[in-house]
Amino acid sequence: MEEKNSQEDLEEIILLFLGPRLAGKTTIKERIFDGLQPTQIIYVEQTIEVRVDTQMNAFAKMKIVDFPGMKDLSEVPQDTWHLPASENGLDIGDNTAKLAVIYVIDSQDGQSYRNALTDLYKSAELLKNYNKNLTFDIFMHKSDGLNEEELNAIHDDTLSYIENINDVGIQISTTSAMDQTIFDAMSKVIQKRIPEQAQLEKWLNLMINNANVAKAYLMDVRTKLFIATDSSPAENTQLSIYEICSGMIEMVDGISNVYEGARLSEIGDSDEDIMPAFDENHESWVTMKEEIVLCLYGITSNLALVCVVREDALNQRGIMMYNLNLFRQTIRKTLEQSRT
Amino acid sequence: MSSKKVERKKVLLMGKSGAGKTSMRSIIFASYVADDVYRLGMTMDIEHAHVRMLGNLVVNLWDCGGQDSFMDSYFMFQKEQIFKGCEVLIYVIDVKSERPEADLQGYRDCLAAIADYSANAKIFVLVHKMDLLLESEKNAIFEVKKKELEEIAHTNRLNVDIAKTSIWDKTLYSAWSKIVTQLIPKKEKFQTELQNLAEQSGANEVLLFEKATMLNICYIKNDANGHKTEDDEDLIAERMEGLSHYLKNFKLICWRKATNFESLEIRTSTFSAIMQIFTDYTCIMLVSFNPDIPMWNWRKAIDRIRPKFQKLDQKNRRAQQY
Ligand SMILES: Nc1nc2c(ncn2[C@@H]2O[C@H](COP(=O)(O)OP(=O)(O)OP(=O)(O)O)[C@@H](O)[C@H]2O)c(=O)[nH]1
Ligand SMILES: Nc1nc2c(ncn2[C@@H]2O[C@H](COP(=O)(O)OP(=O)(O)O)[C@@H](O)[C@H]2O)c(=O)[nH]1
Ligand SMILES: [Mg+2]
Repeated sequence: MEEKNSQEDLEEIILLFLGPRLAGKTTIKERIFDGLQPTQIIYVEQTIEVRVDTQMNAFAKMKIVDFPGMKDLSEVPQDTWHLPASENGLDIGDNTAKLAVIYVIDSQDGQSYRNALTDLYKSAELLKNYNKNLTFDIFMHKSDGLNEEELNAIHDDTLSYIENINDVGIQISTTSAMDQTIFDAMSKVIQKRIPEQAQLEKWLNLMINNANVAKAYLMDVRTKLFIATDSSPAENTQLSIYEICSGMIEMVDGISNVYEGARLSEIGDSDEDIMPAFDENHESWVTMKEEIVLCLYGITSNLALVCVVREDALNQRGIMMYNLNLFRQTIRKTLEQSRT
Repeated sequence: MSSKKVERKKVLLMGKSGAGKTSMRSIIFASYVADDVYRLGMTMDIEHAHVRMLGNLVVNLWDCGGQDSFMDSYFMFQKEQIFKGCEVLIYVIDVKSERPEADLQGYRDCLAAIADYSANAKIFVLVHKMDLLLESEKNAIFEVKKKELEEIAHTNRLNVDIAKTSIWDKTLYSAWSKIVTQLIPKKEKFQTELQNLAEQSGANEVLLFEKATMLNICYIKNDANGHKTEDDEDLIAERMEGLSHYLKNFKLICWRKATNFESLEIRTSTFSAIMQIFTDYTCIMLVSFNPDIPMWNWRKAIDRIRPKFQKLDQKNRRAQQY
């Protein structure tokens, strides 16, 4: 129950999805925050009205605003932007809110792509005037249908275009709802809005050195977004590792649920609402074929540390465990402090 | 080594076109989970799938259309080839079929043929797509179907095991677990050894999974340390389905990334679990509601009994990895 209270104190991050119709906004939102599977994305329905969802995550209270592509942002009067959607507002808070804008462009649609850039420019200007505290990201989405050459061409084209906008440092990511790229890109968006991020990264760097860990992620158990990773150089296998790490969370969380359900029914407590089974004392190890071991440590009931460890490093398992525990304690303390 | 030693076991998966065989096979054996089913086209042609399981089992898929003229020729000219030496026959019936009579005719033909060529085969009938029925009518409709199917079997002096299934819930895993378990030689020995292991290791549960499908093939519950025995079959089936599902999904992710995993250990505030590749064709899992159980103890216990099991499935042995 204490957990609940401290969650209430979390800071709010507002995610605003913009972009032309059919660009993939709703798909992205549901894929990441509602567990939509890649095979189900064909069933996503068109968005008619502004839709706002809130969700509690390990790192923040997320408010997700899905703006229908059939509407035009410039036609929504700015003095209604802070109002809730039920009052025809956008619900994106005032000029001090932590706002992360994601502009989604369908990179497979050469036609609307140019128009999208014009609209993007207009929207960025409006939003910048409204809230000086925002971050702005472009997702070049649906990259799954394109080859690398085409992707690079579109990326460079967009880049040269936004250079004219000249400002807050708009970032472009290539994404697809079919694979892990969307989680990677969204993680980076979130990271920009987490004040502790730099500190977390520092600690992760320190920890992987001391514990002889090859790569580490701090991940939200529910969405599998990572709020920090160490800064060891990105190999091209990195997305694979990240995907396997998210898969591992999914599996051990699932198995924990199965046995938490079993335990409750054994003690005759099956009527109670089953609490999320992942717990802060969770510890699991998966040995992979290539002499790699994945280690997952619960930090809180929705935050996990996932480490990629080479098997030979396990010779010094004691030192590793000591360092992981130390790290766990440090993060817990930091999280507690930032919430009071 | 020598292919002579490989004793292939034939499993026939039959049913009218559209009954759901391909969907089922894809979920159980290959790299699909239920959401992917719409991707599969209808089996237009006869599909002759060879799926390998437990090293030497080959699953053959056949459409028994009834309306398909080529089907007649199968039964006429290839009867012996298809039905001879068959270990298991699985017949799939679409519960909402538009032509139930044709289904039954296909079923009759299959049973007659199996009675002629493999009278000892174990027969499973899956009344499939149960999700299309209302919850309230499920049982009644199933019972009627079951009776009908049993009567046809009895006229051929055969016994059939009838289950309701759907690709959208746990019933598919449960039914197939039963089928796969049926195919495992010397089950009784497995059971006793694993019971011993449970007692010695202090585990509350010991489970075996078939390695390629992650289907549960053995479930041992140990009540020695005072846990209530309340073997609610549905609850256990649900648990096994959950485990198969999660283990398999992770396995698929690994496959897609050209890797695989060999063991898993979990410890939470309320339970401990270990899962390891056990023999060539199986994985073993130990679970305890005591979170402080020493894992190294379990690892040792597993290593100790592994050779016995390796011997047990020596007969099935084959120099191949899945
Ligand atoms: N190939 C591919 N298709 C995608 C991807 N993401 C979304 N889609 C498809 O694109 C279509 C539109 O997706 P939506 O999420 O409804 O688009 P939207 O931006 O919310 O559109 P509006 O609600 O009209 O604003 C759907 O048919 C999705 O299946 C992707 O990464 N790859
Ligand atoms: N509602 C429902 N549909 C199913 C089920 N199993 C299969 N189907 C659908 O039935 C159709 C035919 O399935 P398929 O596997 O190709 O049949 P096959 O010809 O016997 O191989 C497909 O459209 C499947 O999506 C089920 O359990 N429930
Ligand atoms: Mg939408």
